[in-house]
Amino acid sequence: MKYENGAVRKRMAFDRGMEAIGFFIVSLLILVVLSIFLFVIGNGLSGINIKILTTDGNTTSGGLFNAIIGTWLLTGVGLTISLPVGLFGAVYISEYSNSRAGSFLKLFADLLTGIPSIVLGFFGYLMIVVYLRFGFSLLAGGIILAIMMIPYILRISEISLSNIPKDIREAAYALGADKYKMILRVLLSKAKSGVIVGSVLAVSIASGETAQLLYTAGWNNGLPTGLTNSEVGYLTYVVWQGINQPSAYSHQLAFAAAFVLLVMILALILMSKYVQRGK
Amino acid sequence: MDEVIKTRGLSVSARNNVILDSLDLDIYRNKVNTILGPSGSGKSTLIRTINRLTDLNGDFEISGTVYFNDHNIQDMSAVELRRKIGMVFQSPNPFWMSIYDNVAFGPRLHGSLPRLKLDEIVKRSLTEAGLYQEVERDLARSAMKLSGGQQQRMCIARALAVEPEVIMLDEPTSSLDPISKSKIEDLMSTLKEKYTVILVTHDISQAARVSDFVNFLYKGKVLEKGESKEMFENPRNEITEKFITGRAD
Amino acid sequence: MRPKESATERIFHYFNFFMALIPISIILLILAFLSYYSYRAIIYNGTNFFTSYLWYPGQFSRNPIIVRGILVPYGSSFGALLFLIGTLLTSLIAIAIALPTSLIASLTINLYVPRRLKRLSISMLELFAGIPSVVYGLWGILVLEPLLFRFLEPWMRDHLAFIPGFSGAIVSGSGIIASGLILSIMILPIITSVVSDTMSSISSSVKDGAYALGATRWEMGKYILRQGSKIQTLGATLLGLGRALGETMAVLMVSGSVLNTLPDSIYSPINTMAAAIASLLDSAFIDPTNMNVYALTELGLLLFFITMVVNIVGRTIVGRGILRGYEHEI
Repeated sequence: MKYENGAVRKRMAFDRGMEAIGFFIVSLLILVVLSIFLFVIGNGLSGINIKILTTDGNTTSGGLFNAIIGTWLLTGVGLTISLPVGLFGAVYISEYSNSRAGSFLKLFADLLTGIPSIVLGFFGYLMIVVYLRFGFSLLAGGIILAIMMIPYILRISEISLSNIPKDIREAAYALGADKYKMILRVLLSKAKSGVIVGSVLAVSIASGETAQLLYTAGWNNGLPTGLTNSEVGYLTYVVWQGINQPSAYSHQLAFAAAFVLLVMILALILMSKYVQRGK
Repeated sequence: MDEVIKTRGLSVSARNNVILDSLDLDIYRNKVNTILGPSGSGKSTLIRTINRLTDLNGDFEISGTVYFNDHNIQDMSAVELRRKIGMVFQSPNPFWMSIYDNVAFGPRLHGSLPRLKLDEIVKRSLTEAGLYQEVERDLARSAMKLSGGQQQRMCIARALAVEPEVIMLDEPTSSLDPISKSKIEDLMSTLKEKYTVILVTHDISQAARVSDFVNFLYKGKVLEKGESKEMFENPRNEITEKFITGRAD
Repeated sequence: MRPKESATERIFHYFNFFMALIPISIILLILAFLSYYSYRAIIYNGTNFFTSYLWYPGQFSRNPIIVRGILVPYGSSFGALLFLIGTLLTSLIAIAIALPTSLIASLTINLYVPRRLKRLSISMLELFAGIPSVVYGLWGILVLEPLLFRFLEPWMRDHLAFIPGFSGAIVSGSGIIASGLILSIMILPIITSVVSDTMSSISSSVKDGAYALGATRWEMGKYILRQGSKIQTLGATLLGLGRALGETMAVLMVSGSVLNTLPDSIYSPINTMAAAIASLLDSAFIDPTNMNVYALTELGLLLFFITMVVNIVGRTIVGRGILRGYEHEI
């Protein structure tokens, strides 16, 4: 009896061929992503120094201090606004609404991630900067970042809440707790790590955004002096403007800004992984 | 007696847990060979070692030898081995395609056949699995729409379509209703005329109804093997006796 | 056994309800603002918006004129055809590259990559999603464009000129190819994470069923994994398309931001709806009639509408939302 025939050998060779192609493509992709990181780290590291990190700048001269603080302020305002919306929106969907209404509300939360960044920024300009007269400001930029941060916080919180076993709720009711007390004291503490992961993720994505801020935050060579009508600088703006200008120093600033951004984002991603493992 | 499959000193372990402990088994041609044992005795692992599905999971460590028609299965290609030794799973696992495409899946893999020949294979396989009359008009319908019992018989037809020598049934009726169960049990006595059947079960009465030979597997060891009638009437081993009389722990 | 509703309980309930309604309110608010600010442009532009590719802000030094009852700058024309073509073309190129690549990557991860390396390779591919748009733009300008200009595009022109659109002048690396490539890299993690998640959630009894019939790994992947994740793949592709249609900064930086010139080959510079809004809005503010802002709002409204439809369909198909590829980490 013959067990190896030509057809089988051919099929197995094809399988190994596809394996080789697949590994080649996956390795190539990993190589591309690593090369982007190395490109930024290599160019950024050589141009970065304490002075750049600690002095204000205007994308062609000076440093990044105002842009770094501006990015933190903007994402900070964004988180302050999006956290309660995302968290308590998730509480409503998971604890109060029926599943049909819940998936409807979730769909719209998800849609917020699908709004083109420039359209969101343009809307921010029309409504917050002009109509509400906040001007280019921390609040205008922060609100617009909050809009794109809500879905990350809401979805992850909602999943963490609905993963909490039913008997934990029943146990709290059995002790005579009101529903809101049960949610605030029992559920939220159980869902804490999920909420943190969602928030960290939202901050990591928001800190890399640009188009939302072009027409809401503006640019400031120093630090903003208030929540409204005072423009704010941010890192992604330095990357964009710096590389479009011919001087070597503005390129150096662009790379330094991209480097600081990537380090911040990587740190946040690692942090979210750490929180996940730890729970 | 003509042995199709022999295992000699076959041991399997996963993550340092011994699952099978030096088995010497014989599977006889054109008989229903039953692997009987309580759950967790290693039955499924045994048949997955025979068709080398265990290769797909890096956790298994295998020593000893399995012979198929006196060839060491490690010397054959897994693809060819699995074509010769078909398998039906514990719960029906239809592919998300039509009944026709499900049954034609294997033949199409193993060579491009003209449509007429393929039609013939599908018809023969479904007939052998006792399903043809029920689905004759619905071959283009999704297999997911069949009842559980029909799905399982379609899976048997799918395994038969590649003309295996051996067909292994891994607790094929455990998720089915009594009527479907008896249909499949009836099928085994007709299947053995053409194929060698290996039935894995923990159901003692099923084993007694359909088996020609029984291997009693307990905690990874074969405690007793022999002709079905003999074993059920005069078990030699104490644990076998306890198990078949329903007094096992 | 539900506890009785107290006043605090009711307030808490309504507060949560209000929070859950915010996302849908924002979407309606965006729709309202964009519609309100664009209706004058819609009246003025008419079908010219879709049929003309000429975008002239007009001469602000001359007196504005009244057209169809609307005050507009003298000599202005707002034809968005170039931006529509550019958006469509770059997004389609992105899908054409990202979809097969994602499918092969997902199949490789599920069929061939050893289990202990599976998590690591998925995490590596997810890093793509963490890179900000401007960094893609930076890399596009300094790494990708020179590579395209010096190697890939001359090679394509020399060897693929028989394909319509593949012969023509190579002016610089920026343009259709650079934009399409960058977009494909950006949507790759979206498609890959949905597809590879779906593939690994397929029951192992079905996979083993195919193997037990003598399928090779590739055959199992092709007939079982790929077929089994077909619908999710379609949904994920739409989500990727939505992202590509609306992506702004990276495209703005590598597209060449051309105005009033239709591309004559795949090597031409291009402009997209999103990039055009970002680059033209600044100068639109100085238009005393505001018509330039209104026309860009019309562009924004159209882009918003298209991306929302694509996203709604995509999300509904995928069944559960994804968060740019982070969903399964939860």
